[in-house]
This record gives sequence, C-alpha cells and structure tokens, in this order.
Amino acid sequence: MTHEQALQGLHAAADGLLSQSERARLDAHLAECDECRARAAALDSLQLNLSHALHTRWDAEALPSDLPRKVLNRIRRNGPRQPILRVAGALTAVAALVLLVAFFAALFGGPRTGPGASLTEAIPPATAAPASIGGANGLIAFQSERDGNPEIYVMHADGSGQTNLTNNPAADYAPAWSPEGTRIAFISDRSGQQEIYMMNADGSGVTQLTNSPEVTWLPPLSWSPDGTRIVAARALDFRNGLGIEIHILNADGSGAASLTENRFNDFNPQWSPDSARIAFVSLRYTTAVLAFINPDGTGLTTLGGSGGRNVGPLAWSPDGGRVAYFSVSRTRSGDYSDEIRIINADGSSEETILALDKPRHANYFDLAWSPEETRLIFTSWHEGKGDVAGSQQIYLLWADGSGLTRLTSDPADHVQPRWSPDGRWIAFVEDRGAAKDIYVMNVENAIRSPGMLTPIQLTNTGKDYNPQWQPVVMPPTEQAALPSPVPTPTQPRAIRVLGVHQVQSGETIRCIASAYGVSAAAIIELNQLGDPPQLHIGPLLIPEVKDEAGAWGRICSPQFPSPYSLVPVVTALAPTTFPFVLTSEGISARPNFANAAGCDWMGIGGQAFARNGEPLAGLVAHLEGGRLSREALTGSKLEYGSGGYEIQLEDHLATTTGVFRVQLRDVHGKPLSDWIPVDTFADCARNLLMVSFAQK
Amino acid sequence: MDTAQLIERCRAGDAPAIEALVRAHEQAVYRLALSLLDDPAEADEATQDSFVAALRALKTYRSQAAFTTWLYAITLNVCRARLRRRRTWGRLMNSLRALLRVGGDAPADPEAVVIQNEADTELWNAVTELDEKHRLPIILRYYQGFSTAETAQVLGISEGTVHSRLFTARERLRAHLKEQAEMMRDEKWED
Repeated sequence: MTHEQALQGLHAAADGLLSQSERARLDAHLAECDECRARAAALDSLQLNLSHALHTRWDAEALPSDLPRKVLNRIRRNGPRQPILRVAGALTAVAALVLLVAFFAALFGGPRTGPGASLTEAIPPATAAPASIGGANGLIAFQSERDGNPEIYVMHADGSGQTNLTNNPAADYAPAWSPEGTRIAFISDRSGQQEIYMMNADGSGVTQLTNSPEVTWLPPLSWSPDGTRIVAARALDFRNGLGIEIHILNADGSGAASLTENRFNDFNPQWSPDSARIAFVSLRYTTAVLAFINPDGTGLTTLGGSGGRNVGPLAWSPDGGRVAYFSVSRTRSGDYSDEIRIINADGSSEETILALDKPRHANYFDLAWSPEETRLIFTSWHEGKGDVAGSQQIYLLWADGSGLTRLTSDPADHVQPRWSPDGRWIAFVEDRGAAKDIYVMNVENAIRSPGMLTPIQLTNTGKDYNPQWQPVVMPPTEQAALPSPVPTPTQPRAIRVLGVHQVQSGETIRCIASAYGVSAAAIIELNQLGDPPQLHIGPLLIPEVKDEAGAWGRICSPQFPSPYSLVPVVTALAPTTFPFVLTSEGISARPNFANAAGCDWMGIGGQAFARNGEPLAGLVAHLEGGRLSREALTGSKLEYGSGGYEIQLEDHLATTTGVFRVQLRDVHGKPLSDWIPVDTFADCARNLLMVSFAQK
Repeated sequence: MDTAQLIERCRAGDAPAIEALVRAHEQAVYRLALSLLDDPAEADEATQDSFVAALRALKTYRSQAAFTTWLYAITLNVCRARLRRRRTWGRLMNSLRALLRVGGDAPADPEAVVIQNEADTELWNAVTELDEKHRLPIILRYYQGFSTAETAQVLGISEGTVHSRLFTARERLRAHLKEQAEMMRDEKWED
C-alpha cells in the first residue's frame, strides 16, 4: 500500500466507506508507517475540531419562538397559490447585506410586529412640530432599495421631499456627507467595479474618485474636517479577509496613498474632528485593538489588545479630544464583562464609564456622542430577554456613565441611531426583519418616557435605512486667544446622585437603599432624615454611595421590579413637589470668570446643593429657549465648585428677556425644580448668569 | 399518531396537525438552516419558508423517502436559494462578517455566539473559505452528524461524490490550518 492509497483509505474510513478487509489492510499499513499514523492522527483531530467548532458556533442559538404559529399564519395569509418565496425576500437579502456593508449597521429579523401604519398618527407632544426637526433646512441622506437596488436618497428631516439621487441600476451605498454639507461621497459598482464616487447634495456632478479594480472598498467613508480628504479601508483580498488597510485620498480623487501597510487587517477609520488623528480598529489575528495614526502616516499607536479584550464600535468626541469605544471581553472562562471606555486622544486617562456584567448575547453597535458632547447613544441587545427577546434597542447615557436609559422598547429592532446636528433629535431605523424604515424621535421626550415614546415615521416603503444627517454649516468663529484660566484648587468630591426616589406609603429606608444598591446611612445623611431617621412621603435623593457590603439588595418593595435593574424605577414627581429651588441668593450676573472665551460668550453656570449644603454631582441643568435645548451635568465644571455646571447660550452678547429658562432634572429627565427664567445682558460685566439650586 | 397520519391530516389543512408537524421538526430544520446560512435571523425566515414550502408540496411527497430526509432536502433548497441571492454581495459580506467575528464581538455580527476558542475561530474561517460545493457536505457531516448516505440523499448526489467532496474539503482545511500555523510562527519570530 502506498502513502497515497493509505491517505485515500483514511478518508474512506472517516466517511464509513471502508469494508472490513480494506480496514484490516489499512491498519496493517499504519502499524509500520509513522508518516501515515501522523496523517491519521491529524485527520482524527481535524474531525473532532470541526465538530467542536461548528457546535460551539451554533448550539447556543435558541430556537426562534413561535415557529408553528408563524408558519400557520403564513399559510393562512398567503393562501395556497402564492409563490413560496416572496419576491420581497430577494430584496430583503440584498437590503440586509447592504446593511451589513454599512458596517455598524444591523442585520436582524427579530420577532415581527404588525404593520406600523398607526405610527404616523402619534406625534410626540410639545416640541413635535415636524418642520423644525433637525434645525433649518437640514436634509437626511439615506439608503433605499424601493426600486430594487440600493440607491442613495435625501429627504427633509420631516420626511418630505424624498428624492433619489443616484437613479442607477447598480448598487449605490455608504453615503457620507462632506463636513460643509454640500457633497456626498459614496460607494458604487456602476462601472462594474466597486469604486468611491462623489456627488453634489442634489445628485449632480457625479465624479468617480478611484479606479482600483484590484481592491474592495469598505464603508465607512470618513471625511477630513476641512473637507479636502477622505479616509477609508480597502481590501486587497477581500474574499479571504486579507490585506485590509487604511487608505487616504483627496476629495478630487488625487493623492491616494496607504496609511497602513502591515500584516494586520485595519478597518473602520474615523477622522478626528480636530483633524489631528485617525482612529481605526486593527485586527491583529485574533484580537482587535484600537489604533491611532496621523493623516501623514506617522505616529501609529495602539491601545489595548491584552487580557482577551477586543475593541468594538468607537466614536470621537465632537471636540476631537477623546474617543469612546466598546471594550469587549472574550475570555475562555466565559466571564464576560463588556465596557464602554473613554480615552484621551493622546492615549492618556482611560476611564471605564459603563460596565455591563455577563452580557451573554453581547453585540454593540453605533456608538455616537451627542453634538454637545454630554451624552452617548449606542445600540445593543444585551437586555434581549423576556418580552423583547433578542431585539436590539437604542440606549442613551451621560458621558460620565450615569443615567443609562433604554430609549426604545419593542419586539422590532431599533438600530442606526444618529444625532441630528442640533442634538435634539435622533433618527433611527426600525427593523422588522423584512421591513426597515426610518423614524425620528425627540431626545427630550424619549428620555422622559423611555421605551414609551411613539416616534415619527419618516419613510414607509419598508426598504429604507442608514440615515445620515446633513451637517449644518457653522460660520467660522474667531477663537479669542485668552490666557487659560487659573487652575482651580483641589476640591472635595461632590456626592454623585444616582436618582431621585419618590417615597410612597409603606416603604422603608432599608428597602429603598437595598433596591438601589446603596448605603442606607448615606441616604439618611444626604437627606437629613434625622436621628432616629424618619422617612416622609415625597422625593428622596439617592446618593451613589455603596455599603461595605456593596452588593445589590433584595426586592422588598413592589415598586422595584428588579434590584438588578440598571435603571432604578423612579416614580414621576407630582409637579407641586419639586425638591429643588433656586438658592436664596437668586440669580446673579457677573463677568465670565469660568472659561477662556471671556466676553465673546454668554452663558449660565452654578452648582446644585443638598439640604445639608453638600455639593451634588450627577444632576442635570436643562436649558431651553430660542432655538436652544442644552444640558449639562452638575459636577462637570469644577470652576463653579465641585457640584458645578455650565451651559453656553451664545458666543456673543445679547440682551434677552423671557427667552431662556432653566430647570434642574435627574439624568432620566425627570424635573426636580420649577423652570427658572433667565434674562441676559449685552454687557461684558454681566455675561455669566449664576443659577444654583438647593434642595428644599 | 404516527408521521403518516399526521401528514395525511396536514394535507387536509388541519391546523393542529400542522402545528404538531412543525413542532416535531422545527428544531432540526432550524439547526440545518442556521448551519447553512450562519445567521439566526435569516435562519428563522428560512425555517418558515421551508415549512411553508413543504406543506404546499406535501401532495408530491411519496412515503418511500424518509419524511425527514425529504424535509431536509427542501430546507437545503430554500437555503441554497438564499445563498445564491447573497452571492453578489455575499463574498463581501461573509468575509467582512468573518473578519469582524474574529475581532471578538463583531459590530456587524448579529449572532449571539461568542467564539471563545481561537482554534474554533480559525477552523471556522477556513470552513467559510470553502466553496458551497465543499462546505455543505462538511456542515451536514460534522454539524448535523449525517452519514455519507444521508448527506448524499439530502444533497441529491451520489455517495461517491459526497466522499470525494469531503476528501477534498478536509485536505483543504488541513492545508489552510497548516499555513496559518506557519504564519503565526513566523510572526512570533519577527516580533
């Protein structure tokens, strides 16, 4: 028997096709051939590993719920003569794939809801005048497959004027607005090759920027903040997932060059808003690390990549100073702890702002900072259990890690959340499996009634996704070169407030403390409940102070569905029982001492104090007026004290009366004070209004 | 009630019988669709498609083939049709997905499976690089645990063809893994 015959025999044995006599001949040969024994062992091990790898991959996947009912419904609905595979299925497949190409997009079926026809009727109260969505004249670019292949459309932010910009039998996708909002870069295979193109915001002036038949361009396309260059990842051998590198080119297609050329796969480049750096993910065989490089190809630095952690979605802060990113564990022991971390652009001061424990079904998408840099949104299905099994929803949290709130709640997936340029709206996609449409929700309303909001439906073809707001052009502002402010002396840390609890009849301090997982003594101390402590019906501040035990407590009040809930249930306050009032000094006007803008600035600042005079961090000063809706966390601006906050109104002086008003809220948007009207003065000596709040 | 009676009642459009039939086979059909499509959401849809198609085709079912084999063959066809539709984009997608999956909790990967073992990951990547002709027998054999004969029946090809495809597939996987191992070793020396 030759080696070749032995090898044939080994494979035949593996497939159970060997007769007894053939088997005996093979065994005899193996007994005297070391090389063939090694091949036999390798084949055995390959078979074992294959079985293990495939089972590991799919066994944990739960059977979709209600299959018998779904099948019955389909048989009844379609009747016997309908084609077995719906035509829509083909479209859905392409839609889903393009969604995936859109990189951090999602591809989900999820349990389907009924037709969403009623959604347009319900419009959120108050600020819902649709014409004002997203600020003046803002457009939303999006992808649609309503004509059978991916096209790029634009519409007004109220859903009107939906226009096909690409009108082309090829696939056009991955639209990326230029920073000044006049051009759109995109990827198209209209030439038979997949290339990067550019067009004006009205679809005119289409230019092919690249001519690179040998590579595959990967979304996203990321613009330099000055609008002169584009960075993207491209793959030399995409089929095999090899040779994926970061590439840079001028916005006219010239000057193309590789930024990275290494043996790793580099992708998802994001140009920093201050132009200085490009962040991307570098996949080093099995570990994805966060990497930074200068636009000229120098200064490559990487972060992470140890301890079995991988980098997921990442996002630059709007000022370019920081990057928020998902750090996801992948340890063999199965203890997952997934985190959102924020790191300075120079790699210093990494901070974990949110840790999600044991999220078995861990997938995170679409991390994005609010334009004012105060909050983050992301999508995740880490809570995919119970009534929203496996569905992906939109979450919001403050950049200090507080106030995690699930904004959407539905059996359908809610994905691709995108802040409007003014930060007041979030556009997103509702994905009901076969149908995807674009919606918009008002951020304030969504925070105030998380999971309960009925969003405004913008598109209804079932084939629309990947909304991209047109950037709003700001006239360049002259930054006055003022000396930096005197460093503030170190101050005692303010107590961070986890929330405000509405005490009801029959509750005890211990129960409340236990439900929030905080120290009962700290509640007593902060709220000055006396000795012996007495609890009164009404609002109670919950300080973020753990007991020595530190653990989450038991359920001992029907008010708390789960002591492990990340968002403690806080009953809405009756309007007459706001626990905070303006401090007795009232509003005082001063020259701006707190920031470098000096007189080219107008704003408010102050602190929040507990009843016992302790400064409080973690509450929200919320300002509205004019076209503004701005918020700041107390404890975020130490120039005013350790419970300090600051909100800019304008970058110039103005006299206003009855325009602006401010309210203290908790991080979930529940009001804690009355609205305080704030008038302003066109006067350098009075351009900072001091508004501080104290617990009653 | 045996399968033949159940099938008879399903033919007559009896809803409880249809429900029972789906319940009896949903696990197997879903696992098969999942292993072919590698996407839970799509596998859910394909499972429904398969049952709907099977129920409509019940009148053509002759009891000489085992019902499960017949049902699997339908499922396979449904999934193949989906794979064909994917093809234009699929190359891009699968690689991107594989690429992202390796990076741990891949952003574009909707699946809940977290692959903990690097060897599993590498092997899976190698499997995704096989063409469909060679990948399907591997999945049927090593995930579904089908014998060569069952694999042949479901795929509608001869046992000899199944064997020769498995042979080629296994040899390719082995070569691929060897190459990977050598590459990793080279890297270690470079670093």
